[in-house]
Amino acid sequence: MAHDVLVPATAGGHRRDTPLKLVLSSVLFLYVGFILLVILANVFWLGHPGAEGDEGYSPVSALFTNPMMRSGLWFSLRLSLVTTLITASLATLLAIPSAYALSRYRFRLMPLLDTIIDLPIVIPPLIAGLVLLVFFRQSTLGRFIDEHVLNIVYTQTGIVVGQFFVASAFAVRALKAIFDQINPRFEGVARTLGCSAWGAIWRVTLPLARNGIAAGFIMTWARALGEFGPILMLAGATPGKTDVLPVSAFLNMSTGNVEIAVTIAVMMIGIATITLILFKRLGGQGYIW
Amino acid sequence: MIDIRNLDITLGEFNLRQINLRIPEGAYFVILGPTGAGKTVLLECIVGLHQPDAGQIFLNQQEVTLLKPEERRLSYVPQDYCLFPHLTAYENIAFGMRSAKMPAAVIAETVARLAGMLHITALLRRRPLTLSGGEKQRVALARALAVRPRVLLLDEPMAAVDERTREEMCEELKALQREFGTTTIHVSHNFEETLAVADLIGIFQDGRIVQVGDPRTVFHQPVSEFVADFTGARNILRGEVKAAGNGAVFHLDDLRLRVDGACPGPATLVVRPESIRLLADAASDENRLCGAVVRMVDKGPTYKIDVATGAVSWVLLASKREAADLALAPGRPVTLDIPPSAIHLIPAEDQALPPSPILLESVMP
Repeated sequence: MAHDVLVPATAGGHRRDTPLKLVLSSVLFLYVGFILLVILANVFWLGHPGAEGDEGYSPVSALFTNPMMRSGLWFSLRLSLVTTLITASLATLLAIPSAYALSRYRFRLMPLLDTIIDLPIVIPPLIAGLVLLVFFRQSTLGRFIDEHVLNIVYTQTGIVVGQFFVASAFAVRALKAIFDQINPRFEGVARTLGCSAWGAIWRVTLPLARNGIAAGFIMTWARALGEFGPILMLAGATPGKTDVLPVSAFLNMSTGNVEIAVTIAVMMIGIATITLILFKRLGGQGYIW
Repeated sequence: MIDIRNLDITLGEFNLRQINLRIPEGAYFVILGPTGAGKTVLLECIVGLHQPDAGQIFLNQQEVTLLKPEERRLSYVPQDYCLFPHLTAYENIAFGMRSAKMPAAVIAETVARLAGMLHITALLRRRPLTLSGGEKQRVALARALAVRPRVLLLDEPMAAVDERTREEMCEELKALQREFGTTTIHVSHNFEETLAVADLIGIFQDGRIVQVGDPRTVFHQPVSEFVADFTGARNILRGEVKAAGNGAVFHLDDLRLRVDGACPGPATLVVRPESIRLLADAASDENRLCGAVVRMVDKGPTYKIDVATGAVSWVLLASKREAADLALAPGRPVTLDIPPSAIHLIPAEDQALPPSPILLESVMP
């Protein structure tokens, strides 16, 4: 009976809520507008003639007239793509079993495990790089690896290691969320139908996680693409050798080549946008880390 | 035959204690109990998805307690059916046979035959997301039967099916089970559904099986007030049985009812609503109670009628025709006929004991 009384009250309350809706949504739209404004300002600046007083040339035209700049940018782009694809692939390969175990099994020290996995994401990226550098230069195991197995410090391999350290934790988090969403009972039913434990994962869980794994791969890749701090510390910032896009943007900015830095910025914003669209298309949720 | 001995399972908030069950080969066994009593946990333990803390499970004299689910040859249909969403209905049904590496021709033939029996031939190319509750259920049943299981376990199979389909599906399920002869364990909280399919019933309460028997016995001779209430006996009264002459009489305030073969002492009287006969004339006699209609609730083909006789309120059922013949209406004086054969007594000392598992020794009816 109380319910009957409530219905018209709620309907009437709807109209009274309008000012509140107005206030809250204007905050939202102001915020979204601010982000858009900052991004668009950069795009417009690139195409705006005479910004540097160079006889009416827009900053972006420097890229067409200066082959040195162009090849430098091209190198950074290629280096970024190759390293991030390797990083994201390795991170995903590591994350599939780790995330599955984290999602399905109960461990005694679960909270500790959880915290350790989040550490590479939470510690400042520059510090992550510093820690890696110290490991590969000062510890016995790290030095052995660096000297006898894989040359890491101040090499292009170091770029991958730097990206991987953060991106892998990110991939494990993203894939755990995917496996959490898949009802373990699917595997149970598959097993009653004669599937082995492995077979059930292979024939049921992995196909069901396929889109989620793809979404996780894309976000991991995007994260690796934006990595700066660890690379700066571990691989250095040598132009033509270890300057991936973010490092190149930093180097160009500090040497006064603002147009290249901003070009990289706009490119990376474009890539981020495409990544997000793909990610959402694949059913990715609102989590970013 | 399934033989479950002294099974203990703890899982989350569920605590199943001393489960003993013996289910004969080919029987349709329904575990009936309220939601949240741990019935699913019991099923999944039989299937092998959970390890029991103690106890043993035997299948045809073979102990399976420690076997992996894939080694037990039991088919499980969960409440939400768990059809594999990335596979078509055909691929879902073929799943188990493909695991067993059966030849494609045999798989195709089996799927076609099962689909025909379950009337889902037209759905075979569709994915589960596009199927209705009833269609999903049929596909899930076909998938479970395709592997020729030793036992079929169904968890609330009618939960996601609409009322009209339910009745039809119950009949089909029973017919299918007869045809395949597969021992079936069906978990339910609905006693009408149970009546429609069960050869044998086990009543589940707070992690224990409190009574096992054929539906008639369980419904007419409940061992506790809980079982009586849960199986729909609406008239449950606590009173005292006193010896009188060569028989016994149930006393509650000024209510007197002659009962058959009961020992004197405090007891609970149980009368099912459908066992009470309504008489028009207000002649009070032995086991005839005079009273008046208090309330009538339309139940479709019948009325549920509350009748007050003195301080006691009775619930009974009357068909629409009967109600019309007697011109039943609230306030109308009526006489209730409650013969001793309609009365079941549960002695109070039985209730005081914790409900004990009852081993079923009888074979199929």
